[in-house]
Amino acid sequence: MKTATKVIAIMKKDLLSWKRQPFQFFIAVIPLMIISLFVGVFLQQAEILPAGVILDDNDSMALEIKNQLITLESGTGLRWFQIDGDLTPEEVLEKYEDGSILGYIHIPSNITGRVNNNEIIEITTFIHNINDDITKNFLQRVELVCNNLNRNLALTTITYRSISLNFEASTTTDVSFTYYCIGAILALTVLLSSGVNMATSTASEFEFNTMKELIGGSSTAVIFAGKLLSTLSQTTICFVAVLIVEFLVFGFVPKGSPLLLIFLFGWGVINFSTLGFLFSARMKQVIPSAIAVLILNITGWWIGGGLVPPEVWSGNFLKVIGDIWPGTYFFRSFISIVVTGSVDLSLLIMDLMITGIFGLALWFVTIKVLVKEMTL
Amino acid sequence: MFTEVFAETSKSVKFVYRNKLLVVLALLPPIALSIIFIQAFTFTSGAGFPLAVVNYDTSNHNNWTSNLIKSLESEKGTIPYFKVTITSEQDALDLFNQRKTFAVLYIPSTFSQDIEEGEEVFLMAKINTIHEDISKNLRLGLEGRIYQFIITYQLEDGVRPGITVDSSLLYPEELKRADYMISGIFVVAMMWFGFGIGGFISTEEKQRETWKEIIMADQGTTHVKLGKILATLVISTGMMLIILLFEAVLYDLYFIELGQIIVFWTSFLLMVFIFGTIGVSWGLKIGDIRAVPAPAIIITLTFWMVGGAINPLEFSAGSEVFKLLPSAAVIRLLTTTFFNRGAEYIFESVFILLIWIMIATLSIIIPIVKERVSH
Repeated sequence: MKTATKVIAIMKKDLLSWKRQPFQFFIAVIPLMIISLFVGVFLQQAEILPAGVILDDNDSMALEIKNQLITLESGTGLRWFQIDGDLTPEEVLEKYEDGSILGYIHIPSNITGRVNNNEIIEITTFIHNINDDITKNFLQRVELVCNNLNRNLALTTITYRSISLNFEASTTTDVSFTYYCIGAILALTVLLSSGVNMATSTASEFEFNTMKELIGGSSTAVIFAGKLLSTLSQTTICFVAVLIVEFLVFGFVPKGSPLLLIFLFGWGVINFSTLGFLFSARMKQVIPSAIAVLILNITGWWIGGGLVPPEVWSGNFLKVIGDIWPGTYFFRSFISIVVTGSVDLSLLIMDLMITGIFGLALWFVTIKVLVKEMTL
Repeated sequence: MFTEVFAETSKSVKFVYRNKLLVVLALLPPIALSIIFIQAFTFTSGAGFPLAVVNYDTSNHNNWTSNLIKSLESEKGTIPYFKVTITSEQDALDLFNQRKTFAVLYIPSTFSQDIEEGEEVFLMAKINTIHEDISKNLRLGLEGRIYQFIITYQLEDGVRPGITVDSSLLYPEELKRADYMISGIFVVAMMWFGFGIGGFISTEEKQRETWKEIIMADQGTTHVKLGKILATLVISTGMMLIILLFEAVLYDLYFIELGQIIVFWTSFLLMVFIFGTIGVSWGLKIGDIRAVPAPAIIITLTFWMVGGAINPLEFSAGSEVFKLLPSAAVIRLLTTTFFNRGAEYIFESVFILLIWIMIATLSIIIPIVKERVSH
């Protein structure tokens, strides 16, 4: 009972201190808002390519190709080309030359007749190849249109068929870049806010010279329990604040079981918040320790799946670094649940094990550091 | 006046020399960005996108199935290329669930027979759509491999007619996206050095409580400001040489043409002057070194992102506004200089940069005039 009272007292003290110094709340939340802004506004990738189409005649197959180019859709439901079908060839050329469109597709004349004559028809694309990614994106979309025609090429006397791909997607619609990143930002909120909150509350003890009284008045377990409870409370407030902003600005609503999300939230706080303690025990100042936690977590976020799942970097040394950082495994499961509503059980268990072992190791080191402070 | 300014410059350079941690702090962001971003975007240009294939067609009639697999493994045509693993259904699902592959392609047992007879064949592709970049690469990438199959084994072999695509590119040489981004990294370095170093060395006066002596001296503030801007230029030049060496080693990027050297170093001096002016003003005002990194990073990264760092500005939203930023102007100038892209924007970019130089210069001259008038 006495222990519980002491734990709650430490928690209350930290929360009051947090309330009196709103800077500590802002330093835990502002970086996340800024990253959200970057992602949502500046980094949103332009998947819709501005293009033009030039037809040499109104052949039925040529019109079909043009129609497909205009209406082609991605898995997120966006058009893959932005084409104004009413432009004249001269207007298309002008737009290409002044850079208003990325490229244009020139469809030759008499396609139907020539195909019925067993010819192979070439559609020519003219691309503003500012980099290889843009070139690839443009060409692939036109290749898709060619595939659509070739797999059911109906001629006068015969229909030629070929391979069609049926996609079974893991989600109802493809998860957009922004949506994925918001899920990643929420995952980052758990790790970053918990680390920063633990760092600021502990470093405050050193800055205000109250660490000795804290150590003298309570056992290690009580101190950590109190600090952890206050960190949990503070991180919850930060998480809710970020979630509200994501909902209001981007309309983001997390998927997945709320109980599982709460469990993962708590798991993340318990296993990663002690990083904040370690930094603050070393630096003994609020701002430098908070900044150190920020830098570590944000860098870990970039590498560990903040913008794109790190598995796509196979063969890349960034993948190696991402594999080493335990936060990567937390991000993987958390993002999957928040964004798609589900995660493979074996993957979840593996991620929990890795992050749990990391957390245990951190706690072990943290306790040793606190004991060392006690003996000083 | 020049004596005082040079004395201030010398003092600030010595300050950085004595506090070598500042050198590390100054070099860290551009190096980190260079490694993280350029390495991250390199993956799109290479081979190795994992694809699990479950092949039920053991008959392989007329080698159609083998030809399909060759097309999947081929490195012809558009990227990404796939690293194909032929495996059982259960193993494929395990790989998929553990995210060791993002796609599983199923070849039905009658594939080769149906293709031989001219029937439409449906291949099922199970794909992970957790990120639109991945799903785009998978959807279009697989269609690209099917396109290669149709071209190579059906059209070119004269089996049947069809439609193909040919490309005519505006620039003869392909520019990798990762290479394009290097211009942006240099611009980040210029802005960061200007704001960061300028800010760091300027906080010294208030932190060491020498600010009062400076204010009391005749035109003291002017001398300090000019001296610190000059020191920022000197120190940043040393830092930039280190960054250039780093990029040369890591990405084999170096330039020896006189035109490239002139454009690069002129852009460097102008950008460091602009952002150094901002950084020095901020540092002198705030007087706390801890308050420099955060705004410096925010401004640097924001200007970098919206200035066309990752994709060309003309194909991004808001380009009409963002092109007015100095970062956008210099990214365009460097891209033209190094990679011969976007020459049509040179005059516009130079004009925008000159406007910013004028603003920075006025921000120095106006307080000098005010100080002289008040004295």
